[in-house]
Amino acid sequence: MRTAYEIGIAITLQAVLSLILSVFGYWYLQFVTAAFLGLILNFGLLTSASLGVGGIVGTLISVFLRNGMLSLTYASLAGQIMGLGSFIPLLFMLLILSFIISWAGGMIGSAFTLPFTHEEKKPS
Amino acid sequence: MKKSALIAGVSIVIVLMVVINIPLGPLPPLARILNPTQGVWVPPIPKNSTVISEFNLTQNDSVANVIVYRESDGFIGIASNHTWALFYEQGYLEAQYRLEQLTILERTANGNLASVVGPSAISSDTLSRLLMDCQVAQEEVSNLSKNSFSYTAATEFVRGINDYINGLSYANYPILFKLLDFKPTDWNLTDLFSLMQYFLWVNSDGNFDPILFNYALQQMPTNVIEALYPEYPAGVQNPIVPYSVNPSIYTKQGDVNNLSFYKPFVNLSRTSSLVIPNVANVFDSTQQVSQIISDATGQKFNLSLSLKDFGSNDWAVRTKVNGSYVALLANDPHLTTTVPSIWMGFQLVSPAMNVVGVSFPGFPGIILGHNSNVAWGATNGQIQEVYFYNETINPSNNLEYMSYGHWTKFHVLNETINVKGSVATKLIVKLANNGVVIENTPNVIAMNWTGFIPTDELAFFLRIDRTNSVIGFEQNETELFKVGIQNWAVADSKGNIGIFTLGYVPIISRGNPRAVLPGNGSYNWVGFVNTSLLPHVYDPARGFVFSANQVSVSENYSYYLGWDYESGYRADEIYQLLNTTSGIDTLKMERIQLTVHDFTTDLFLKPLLTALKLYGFSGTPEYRALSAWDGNASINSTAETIYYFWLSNYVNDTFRPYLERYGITPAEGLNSTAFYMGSDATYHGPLIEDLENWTNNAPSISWFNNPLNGKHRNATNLMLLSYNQTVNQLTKSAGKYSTKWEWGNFHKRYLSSLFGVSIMNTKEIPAAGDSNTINAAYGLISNFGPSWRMVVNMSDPSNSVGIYPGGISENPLSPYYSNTFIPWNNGVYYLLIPKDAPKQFFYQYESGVSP
Repeated sequence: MRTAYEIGIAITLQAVLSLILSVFGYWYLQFVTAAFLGLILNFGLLTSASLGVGGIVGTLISVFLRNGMLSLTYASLAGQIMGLGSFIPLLFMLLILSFIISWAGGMIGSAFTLPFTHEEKKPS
Repeated sequence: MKKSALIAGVSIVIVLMVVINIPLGPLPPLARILNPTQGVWVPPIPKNSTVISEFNLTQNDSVANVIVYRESDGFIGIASNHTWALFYEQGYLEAQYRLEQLTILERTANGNLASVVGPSAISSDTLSRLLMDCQVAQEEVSNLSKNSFSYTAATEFVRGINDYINGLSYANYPILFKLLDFKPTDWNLTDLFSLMQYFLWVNSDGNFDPILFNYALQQMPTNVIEALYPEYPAGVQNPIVPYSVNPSIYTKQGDVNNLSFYKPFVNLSRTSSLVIPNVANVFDSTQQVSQIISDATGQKFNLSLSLKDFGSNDWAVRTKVNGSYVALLANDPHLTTTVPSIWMGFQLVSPAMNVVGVSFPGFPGIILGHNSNVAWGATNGQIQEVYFYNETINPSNNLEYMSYGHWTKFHVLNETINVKGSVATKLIVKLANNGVVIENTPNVIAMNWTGFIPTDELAFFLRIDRTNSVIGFEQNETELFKVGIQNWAVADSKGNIGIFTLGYVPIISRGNPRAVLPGNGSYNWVGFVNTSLLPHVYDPARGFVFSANQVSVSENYSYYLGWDYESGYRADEIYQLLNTTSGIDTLKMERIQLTVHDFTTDLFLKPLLTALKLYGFSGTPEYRALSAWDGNASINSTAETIYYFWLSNYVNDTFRPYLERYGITPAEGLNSTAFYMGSDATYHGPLIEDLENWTNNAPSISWFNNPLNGKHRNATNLMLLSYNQTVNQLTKSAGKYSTKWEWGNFHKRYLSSLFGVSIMNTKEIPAAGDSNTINAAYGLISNFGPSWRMVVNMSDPSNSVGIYPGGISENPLSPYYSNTFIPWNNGVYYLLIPKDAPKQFFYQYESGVSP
């Protein structure tokens, strides 16, 4: 089992990396950083979900980074024009996609084993 | 396990990367619009304070100093020591504040809107291609001298637009561009002139009315047409140029005696109405330049960049103060009241000019405004500029038509309309010598528009910006304005005033211009009315000139000008007020402009009250409200509410049976055309003038009888019938007579999104006025009225005032999106040249100041 500490580290690292990607306009490439972390941390299928959480956190921060709440106001306008009612469906879609992309990245990374890492022990 | 995780992870990533990076149907790629730092989360940064910025611009070896002054009300002042830099900066700032508007207008004008928004814009693009905006614009550009002021202004203006576009990143795109996944492209001079063509088209009067009226002529007996649709309006008239004011324009023999106004010259198949309005409705029946945009989600946007004139006011007054003449001018063009404003306010200062006023985005310079010597305003001339011809096609060759007894080949243009998300549409444009074919079956109808002739209205606008007197305007500018006929009111600093109706007025030698004409050549245009014979007045003895889209001239004018005039009640009110107001000054001009007295109450209220009294209604609270009423359409007036609905019912009860009797259906424009029962038409069209005439002068005339059942009726019967209907309607909707019947509960104003996106509209607020008041507010929930109010005292022009509803920015999050709405509705005016403006903005007003 991964400790909460390891999970916390994974979330934080993926959040920071996905934030950096988002700032440069490549938010959807966060599977790359997730794969890297999945490989380094030797995560499994389920624990890779923590990288998905990190992706959500990083993406969410990047939404507010430059314009704060104005971002939601503007997205709300877009959401209403698109007939979605508000920003909520757009935000939900963005965060779900971030989660899935990071999780999938983590899965890819966890499929490989580096020489200096050990396999995650399965609970007995 | 690892293998399956790898396969799952890779599969998910591949699928998602594909899905979010390609457009899904009408949706732009999710990777773009959801991008946290570039997509729908990133607003364009709003300009949020009064700012003075100063910088240099360079062009070749010329370095210009530029000052941009963003005023607290949203107006923008630009001053430069080089005139080229002035227009460059105007173009740049228009793009900065109105890129969506500029782009969609340019695309609409060029017939390329469908390439941005999809199949829903094909009908609009078809019309633009038929209007040949682009081809005419190309000719106009090629006619432009490279040494001309117009060329410099237009070239620099376009350069400014392009520099803004080229400096724009996706993150700063306006929201509609992001949702439409549209990347703005560079402009050229043809785009600019094409946009002007489009502007002139929507200001050209008549549009498709003759096709619709042809049906009435076919269906109704001649005596009914004569009674309902007289060639000269039946009501009280105060024309722009009455015979007594300028008889010189009445001396020539014109075409009117050769024409026939009460019969059709061709019989059209009724099914053609199913075809023509599909094109026409886009512009005509909605009274606006309206487009349907299919948005990124497949929703419909109603793009309402409306220019079509319901009505406008302008007047100039010449008054003696301390022994010398002083001239004042007021203007308020009535258009759709939008957010952002349909206009942009600028002051433009350079060694060549210091002009302040409003411009339509896409136009270099100022369209309505003043300089230190002259102020000017405009109203639509309501003069017919579009004619229709029924062509006879060679049975053995459908590319030939009969003209002057010979089969003549159409000139054919093959057009391709690119459509986003669909295959391109091919269009064959056929040109006859009397117009472009707009319908091929079952009738072949060609439309001739004065705008097909290359003209140079840009030179007009840029010259009027620099003109120095009314006489100078008359001598130098009147020949330049040809299409989209306007009544130009002018006042100068020497105390002179004038009004000039300018443009090409076609002359035909026979036939009925109100309907479709035979296309055999004999009914073609044979020329245009000479400018010197067009309606105009200079320094009249009565001391004022005015226009409010009323009939231009007295009945004995010898040329046919048209018949689509406003019913003239705003003009009557203006005439009455100017005739009775002494010591007129800026404040009194403002009060006249804000007047909400409905002139029709002077004509209809007394007969109504008499009828009500006769039939025992004098004890009712409704009667008491009406009898105590001053005719003002105030927010708290219950009488206005009763009167408004009563008059509407009175017109309907009188005339709708005729339209039903003779088969005028919605397909023939029943509910869309002002001469039938079009939107708010009970206050506009010719029918109310008939009713005014009959009610006051012939209350028992047989035209009151019901044509459906022959039932005898008179004015009193009908007034009572419509009054009872009104009271029942109001009781049903607002309960028994009470303060709930106040006008402000029924009549509101709002500003509609320029792009027809309803959530971008402002809220509705109670508003005074109605369709006939000088301060006009058309309809019940009104987004049509004074789109710009300006008052200038030419003895003190630096203290001129003005305001428009809606702000300058198209960004809904900008503080300048709708900032002037409430002040405008409350009758506030702003100084057009603020006292705290940098000194350069007082160039030519104060000595020793240079730009």
